[in-house]
Amino acid sequence: MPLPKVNYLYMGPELVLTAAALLLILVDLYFWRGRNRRLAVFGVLALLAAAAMTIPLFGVRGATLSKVMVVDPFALFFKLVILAAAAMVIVLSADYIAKHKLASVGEYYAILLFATIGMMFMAATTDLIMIYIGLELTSISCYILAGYHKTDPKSNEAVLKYFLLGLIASALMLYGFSFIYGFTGQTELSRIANALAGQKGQLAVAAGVLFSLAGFAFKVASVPFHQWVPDVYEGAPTPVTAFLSVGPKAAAFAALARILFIGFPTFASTWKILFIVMAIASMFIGNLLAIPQTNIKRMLAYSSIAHAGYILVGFAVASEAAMAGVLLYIAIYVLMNIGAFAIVLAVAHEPGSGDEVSNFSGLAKRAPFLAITMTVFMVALAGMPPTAGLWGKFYIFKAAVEKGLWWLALLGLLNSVISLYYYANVIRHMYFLEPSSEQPLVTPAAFKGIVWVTVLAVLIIGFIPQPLIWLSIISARGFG
Amino acid sequence: MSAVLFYILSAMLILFSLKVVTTKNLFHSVMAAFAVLLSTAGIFFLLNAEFLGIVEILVYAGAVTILVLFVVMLTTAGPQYRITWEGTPKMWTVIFAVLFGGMLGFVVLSIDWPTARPAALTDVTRTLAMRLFTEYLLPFEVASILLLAALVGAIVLARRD
Repeated sequence: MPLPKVNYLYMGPELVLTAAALLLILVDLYFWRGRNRRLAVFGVLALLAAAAMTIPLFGVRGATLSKVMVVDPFALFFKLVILAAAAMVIVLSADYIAKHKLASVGEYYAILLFATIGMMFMAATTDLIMIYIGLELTSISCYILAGYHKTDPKSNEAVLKYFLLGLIASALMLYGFSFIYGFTGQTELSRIANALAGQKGQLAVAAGVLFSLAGFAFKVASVPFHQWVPDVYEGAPTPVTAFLSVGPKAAAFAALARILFIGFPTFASTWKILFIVMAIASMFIGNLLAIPQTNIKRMLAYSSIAHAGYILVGFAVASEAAMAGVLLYIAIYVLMNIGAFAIVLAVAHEPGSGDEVSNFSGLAKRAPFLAITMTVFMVALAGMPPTAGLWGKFYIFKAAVEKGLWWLALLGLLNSVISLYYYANVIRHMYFLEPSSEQPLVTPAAFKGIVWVTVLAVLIIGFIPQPLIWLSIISARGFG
Repeated sequence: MSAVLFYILSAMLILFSLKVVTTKNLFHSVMAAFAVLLSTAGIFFLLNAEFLGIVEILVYAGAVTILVLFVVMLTTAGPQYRITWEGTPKMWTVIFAVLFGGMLGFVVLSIDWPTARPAALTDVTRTLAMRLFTEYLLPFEVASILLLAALVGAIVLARRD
């Protein structure tokens, strides 16, 4: 029996992370019993090592293990985004874990790395089976992380809701895959496309694609599969919420793009219409329901539904320029959203404080640095200059106009204006309302570090977006 | 002969699946699930996929159902626990289910599914192994990470700190 050839260089980042995750569990058990900060540093170092092994692969277009593992700029772009998000979330987690005295620290970081591995595989495969396994690895790890705050009833509620609804979404997606496999007899996407060419009776495949789309819509938190988002985002530990709002979303968008553009370009006219409907519904429902929220995690949850809507505009346009915009958007969204969550964490870190918008009252007097940076993130999330948030929206909407979908771009712009209302509300609280105490807010160095990194990135990309745009265009080549 | 068996097994599968979701007795629900898994195994045997059939019986019907029974016994609810439903109006559930089922039925019946004759009995397990350990080696390996993550997570969430 000829064993398959494995290119270990291509799989380096995933192998390093797997080894690191296993080591984390062991080291926590025998040597660094509950040494929260050491374990966090170890996790971050593993992620940095994985990133260092990913970067040199740029320029390679290849596959290993019979195309189950693909290496191309598209995959590498997503891997870097996911690795960066995971590293920042680990840095944010250390102080949260210390404050709330969460148990099983080593396992926390290990499971976070497992989720990261799942996402990286999702972004780097063209095989339905591998997409499914990567997705399940991500989802199961995320369920566990959402319930990590065991003494908090809200966290228990979050994990239960997330788990039950997530299972239905996964089952629906798998059911869709079974239709596709049943009709074509293939699991690899380009072979599926070949098998479909010139075939009759594609209704079965259309049903299969529809079901898998429903599953992905759940994972990216798009309307009409968004009901779980606010409860889970509110209940999960805040660093986990930050992770959920960027990581699984990015990976699911990557897998979705591969399925649609490689496997089912022949159905483009159908799924484009679906995406237009989903994009409009997500933008409006997300933004309008974000306005009355008083809990900032719930507000950011609805805002994340709206952001999924903006990204889906890119999928509805489905041109190479639009996909470049999507990649740009996702990278920038990761930076600004994690930055915003870092400040939410910093504000809630004080004893007696919480996740309410009212906790931000008078922040400008107590912590001017946090107030200014939060303003930057809110402006960026609304998509205003001079921040990076502008460029993601600009390139997606520009692609929409080029393809004649100017009205969709117009609806997107209208939604940016709506979103400004609730983002500006946070700024109003920070600058124009009186603080509850006059004491300056004490912020752990880790939170400040992440805020510095993300705010500098958001501003620098805002002024000099060319390198990132260039990278997105290269990575999106062939999609659309 | 095998066609008759197939219809009998399929009818059992559908009936017991309905029983799983309609019965209000948790214990009955688990036992119905057991019958569903056995019928599935039967269909695998009919297709000459004896390895899958045996795995279905060993792992799903055997291990998983017994585990679920243990959970039912060990939780405070106990085997007498009655399932109650509230929330969603039943009317909508029925309408949605009928529409969804109708759509599926239409899709399934309107298509000429490509079919293959069952492979010879001796080859099935061998072919499965060959593909699992060559073409699908990576998903196979990553599935072990998935199981490990689930295992670690289950212990972390369930244990008392």
